[in-house]
Amino acid sequence: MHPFILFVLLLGTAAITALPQLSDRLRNRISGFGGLLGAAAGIAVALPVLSGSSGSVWVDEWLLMDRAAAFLLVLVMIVYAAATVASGVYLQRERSSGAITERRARLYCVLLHVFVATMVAAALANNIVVLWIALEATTLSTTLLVAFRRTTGSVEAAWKYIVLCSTGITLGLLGVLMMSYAGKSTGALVGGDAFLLHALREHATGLAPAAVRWAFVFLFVGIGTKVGLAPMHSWLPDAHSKTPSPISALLSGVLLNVAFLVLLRFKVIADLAFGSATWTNGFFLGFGILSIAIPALTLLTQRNYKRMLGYSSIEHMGILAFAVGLGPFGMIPAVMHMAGHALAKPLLFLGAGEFLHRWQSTLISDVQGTMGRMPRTAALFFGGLLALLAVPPSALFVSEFMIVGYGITQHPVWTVLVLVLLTIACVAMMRIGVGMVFGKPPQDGDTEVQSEPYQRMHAVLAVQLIGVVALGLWFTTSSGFAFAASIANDLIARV
Amino acid sequence: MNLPLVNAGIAGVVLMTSMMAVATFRFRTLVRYFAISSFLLAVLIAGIGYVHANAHLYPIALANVCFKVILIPLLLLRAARASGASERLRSYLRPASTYAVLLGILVFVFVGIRRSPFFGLVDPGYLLYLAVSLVLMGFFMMIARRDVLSQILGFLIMENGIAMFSYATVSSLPILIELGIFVTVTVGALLMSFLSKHVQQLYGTEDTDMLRELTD
Repeated sequence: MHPFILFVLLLGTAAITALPQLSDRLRNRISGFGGLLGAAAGIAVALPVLSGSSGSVWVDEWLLMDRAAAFLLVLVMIVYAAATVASGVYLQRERSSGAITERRARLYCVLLHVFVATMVAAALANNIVVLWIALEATTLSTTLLVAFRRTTGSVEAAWKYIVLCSTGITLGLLGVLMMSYAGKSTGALVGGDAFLLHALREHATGLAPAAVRWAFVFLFVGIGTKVGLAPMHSWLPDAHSKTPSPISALLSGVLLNVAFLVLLRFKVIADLAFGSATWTNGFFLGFGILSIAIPALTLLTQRNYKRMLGYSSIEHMGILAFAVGLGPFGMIPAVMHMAGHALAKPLLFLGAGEFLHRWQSTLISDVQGTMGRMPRTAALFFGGLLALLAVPPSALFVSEFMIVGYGITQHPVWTVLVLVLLTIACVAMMRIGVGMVFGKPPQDGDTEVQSEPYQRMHAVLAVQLIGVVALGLWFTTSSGFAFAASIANDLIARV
Repeated sequence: MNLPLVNAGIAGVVLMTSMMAVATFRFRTLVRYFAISSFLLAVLIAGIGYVHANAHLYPIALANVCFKVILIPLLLLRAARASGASERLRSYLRPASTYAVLLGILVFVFVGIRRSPFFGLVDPGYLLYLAVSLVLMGFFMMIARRDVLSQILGFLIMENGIAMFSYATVSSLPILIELGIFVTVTVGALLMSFLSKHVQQLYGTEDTDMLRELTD
């Protein structure tokens, strides 16, 4: 199946849900069905490349799907399916409570599918300017979703989000142009080839290293802003905490990974141009450690559980960057970490959305002892939290164990520092999580333990929890490790 | 007529009008300076196209006029009118200090460019100075200004610089992709002006210092 079919499905679903004649119920069904169909199509597009049955790379003038892109596409589609189902539940509740208008619900449905289409385009684009447009389009398509509630907080978050991300990405465009120029000026690449990722990679040794150095700095700062690396991260906790939970799940679970993959694509080109990965690894190590340190310390004083999850995303992007900075072997646990985070974080955001719906507050002090009120959701949320905090057999345990093990051999001092910071973050989040799930509920006149009826959302959360555990177990097998290594292979420069 | 010299003169005027835009504190004047600077940029792009016999740049110059001279300024003026935004803009710096910083930027660019790997490769060389100066001036405006409307225009000036860098280095991109960049920038400006209207309505001011609800 050609990947363009996927775009037709996603944008087609967006177009149909935009029709004002549809009832709420019908729009929700079309959005849900279209989303699930799109997710299935996306996985069907990626699987032949992942399994190696259609060669290891699909490449033309517009698209580049190697195993790394196919792997990311599968992750995007899994979270997309979960977010689609969760969006149906979310919109139904919001509409029945009269919190949003029919027009706003329509906007949500359209933007959800357009956002996923732009994310897929960014993951698969071969032309680096198209890639830039797609990455910027992910910001533009989600800005109104961040401001969805039109409250002071959500408008502030949306303003910071669009200004910081657009400025960052615009600087990234400067890097993109410099990278192309690095190819054109030496004659290594001519015409449109200077804008193709695969051509830049193939001819990277012929690029002007000084120009590539400048290009990489702009790309790192620009795309690093979108990844949420510190100190360009300030928009992230605001935007991820103010967005409706299904969108937060997509933003945190997969969009950050997509931006990170884009950064890795340029790292490979830069490494080949320099003939060494040492210079770019330094960037990833430094920004990685900073991105772990700032959230770890902020989490100690966090009062808002959705912001806590936002800071946790910054921390996990920091872990990814640190792993990449360690050297070629670090890319293997980085791949595992991407997958684990892409499953665990949406679970937590969707669970947090359930708490928000029940308590109408994002303050940790207001949401205590959820086990007594929403036992199913609370148990799944707590399971997800343990998985995120790398408790075995979570996939994140496997990846972090490998990162620390490898890090000790490469940069022992920095690795010990990272280990201390991760422990601080773990203790801070555990303290909050235990209070939210098992703590004493605030006096709301209702102290009895209540039962919680089964809902579709529980199945979504359970599937993700099972996924992150199963992935953890699989990564410890030789086939799981070989799979992660084969993905990592596409993201390493052989110098 | 010495066309390369005319182009160099236009580049100088683009730089001057952009500096005046960054240093002005009245919204309508700022939008006007931005539109003039974008128009001259379009003329410069067409001029470069003529000198280098690159007809591909003509439609890009035309798109520049449509998007940045007409559409975006109209959108911004409309958004400001709809929200009742103040004509007077806010900044952390006084006009004299702003001009001093702008001069500093020009000196920094003049010295810095000579150390860059792009120096001597771009023909004509003044395009590189212009491009980098516009990027830094736009970036400075986004930091120094305290109101949402100025920040939008700072972003657009920065984007003008990057567009100039694109024409100076890689000459031209396929028209479809160029159009994609124009649409992306326009949608970005549209969303920012939409949000600025909400900021004005919710906070009663466009002062970004008031956006302090989300802190840890």
